[in-house]
Parts: sequence; structure tokens; C-alpha cells
Amino acid sequence: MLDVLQELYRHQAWADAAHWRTVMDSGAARADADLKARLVHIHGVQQVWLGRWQGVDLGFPKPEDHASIEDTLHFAQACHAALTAFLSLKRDADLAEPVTYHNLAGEAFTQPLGDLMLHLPMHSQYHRGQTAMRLRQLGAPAPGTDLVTWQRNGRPAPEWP
Amino acid sequence: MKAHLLDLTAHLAWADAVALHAVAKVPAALEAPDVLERLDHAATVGLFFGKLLRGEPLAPPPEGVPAFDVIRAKARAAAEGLHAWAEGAAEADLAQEVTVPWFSDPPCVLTAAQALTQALMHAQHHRGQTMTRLKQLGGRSVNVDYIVWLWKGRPEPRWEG
Repeated sequence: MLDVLQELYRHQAWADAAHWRTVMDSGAARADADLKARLVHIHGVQQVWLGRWQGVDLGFPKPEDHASIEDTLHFAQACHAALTAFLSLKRDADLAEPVTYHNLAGEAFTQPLGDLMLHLPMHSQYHRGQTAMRLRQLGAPAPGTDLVTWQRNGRPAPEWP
Repeated sequence: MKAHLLDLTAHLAWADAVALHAVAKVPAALEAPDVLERLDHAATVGLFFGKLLRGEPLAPPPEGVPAFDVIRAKARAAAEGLHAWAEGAAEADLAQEVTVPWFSDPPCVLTAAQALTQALMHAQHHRGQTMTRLKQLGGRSVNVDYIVWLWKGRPEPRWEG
């Protein structure tokens, strides 16, 4: 399963970076509060889950915590760097290890690390679809970020703006 | 590798069934061409990937957007087809190469496991967009996160009713 997670997390970083390039190239997108809220949510959830896997509370940011869209971009880059570092230290056997965490309502859950790690790229993918729709509504050309697009283009590294 | 693909295909079926029930409750969504078109596109791509994995011939989809009930039947057939293929696949089947014929330059050669994952991620991307449109049309978005499906004890899809 580790190889699958590595693939999905590399794709996630590439796809998020592609969206960010479009955001930063568009004045309308940079200024859009709805889009900013979605992006803060995507990367905030990335931070929250990383903290749960590490047994620490890293916090869940609100859009108003970021004074500018550039702040959110830097936050996104930091989240991806941290996720990449975390995954790089994992072996297949680690993915079966139970992780106990609390959801935002304070309820405790225990699940294997691999199951939890699979959730995150699925979550990002779901909301990236919404971000793409919003970018189009704002007149910004949403990039194609299908997993298969990334694979057939040689699995490029993320290109952040 | 197979265990997580079974989980993801089972989640796809559950999430699509839940999402389609949510759409069915919103008359404006049932009459919105973009909603129906997106749902049909997602179901059609799922059916195509199922045929690709089973080695069946691919034919162009019929012109036009079908009625919601037809789309729901297509989505169910697509989800059940992908899950059934994953259930019956040996590890060697997952590693077999398949060529995705609608990408030609460069040729798109994936392992069966990667092709299946693409189908799942594609559905996830468009499901997020459908939920956004549902809210815009006065409906209620439903949480169909992978982690929610795990929390609920991996429920079976409920297509009818």
C-alpha cells in the first residue's frame, strides 16, 4: 500500500500546485473570498490529519487567519513539504499501526494509519473539483489535474508559483 | 494492494448512491443540464474504465444527456462493475498493463490498478462539483468522505428508494 500512497501524495502535490499557479495568475481568483476559503479548507485538513498521525494538535486555520492569499499559498507549500517528509519515513508495516485521534467534536477514534492516509488525497481531490469549478466561474482556466494526466506526463514534480 | 482498492471501489458505490439520493430530492437539480451532464459524464467514464479492465470493446456513448433515472442506473452499473472487477482480480491482474485508448499522444499505458484508481479519483473530483451545484440549487450537500464511510463501518450502497 505504501507505493499507492506515495503515488497519490505525489499527484496531490502536483495537482494542488497546478491549481495554485492558476490562482496566482488570475486577479479575480486571488481576490475571491470563496476560493480562498476552499483552499484554506483543503490545506487546513491536510495539516489537521498530519497532526493527528503525529499525535499533536497542529490546529485548523480559518480563512481570516491568513491576511492574504500569499499567506495561504505559503501555508499550502508548508503542508505539502511536511506531508512529503512524513511519508518518506514510512514503511509498509507502519501503515497497519493503529492511530488514535479526536475529531473536531472531540470524539475519539482508532484506525490504521494507512486507512487514514488514504482519506487525505481523496478529500483533496473532492475539493479540488470544486476549486476547478470556481476558477472557471471566475474566468480562470482551471488546469486538468487528473491522476492519469499526471501519470502520462511522466509524473512531474509540483511546480509552485 | 487489493484490499485498499476493494475499499475504494466500495466507497465509490456508497458515495455515488448517497450523492444521487441527495440530487433526487432537489427538483431544480433534476432539471439542470449541467448537473445531469456532469453526472452522466462521471457514470460514463466509470463504465468505460470497467470495460477497459474487463477487456471489453469500447463504443462511443449515445449522443445527448439521458434522464436522471437512466443516469442513476448507469452510475450503479459502473460502480458495481468496478467493484466486481476488483473483487475478482488477483495481484497479477492488478499489475497487468492496459492502454487507455482515448489518450493517444503520448499513448497512455497504465497498470490495471492505476487505471482503476484513476476511475475512482475521477468520480471523486466530479462528485465534489455536483455537491457544490446541489447547494447552489437549494439542496443539501451530503458528506460522502472516505473517512465517513470508514466511520460508518463500510456500509453497503443503497441505490433504491
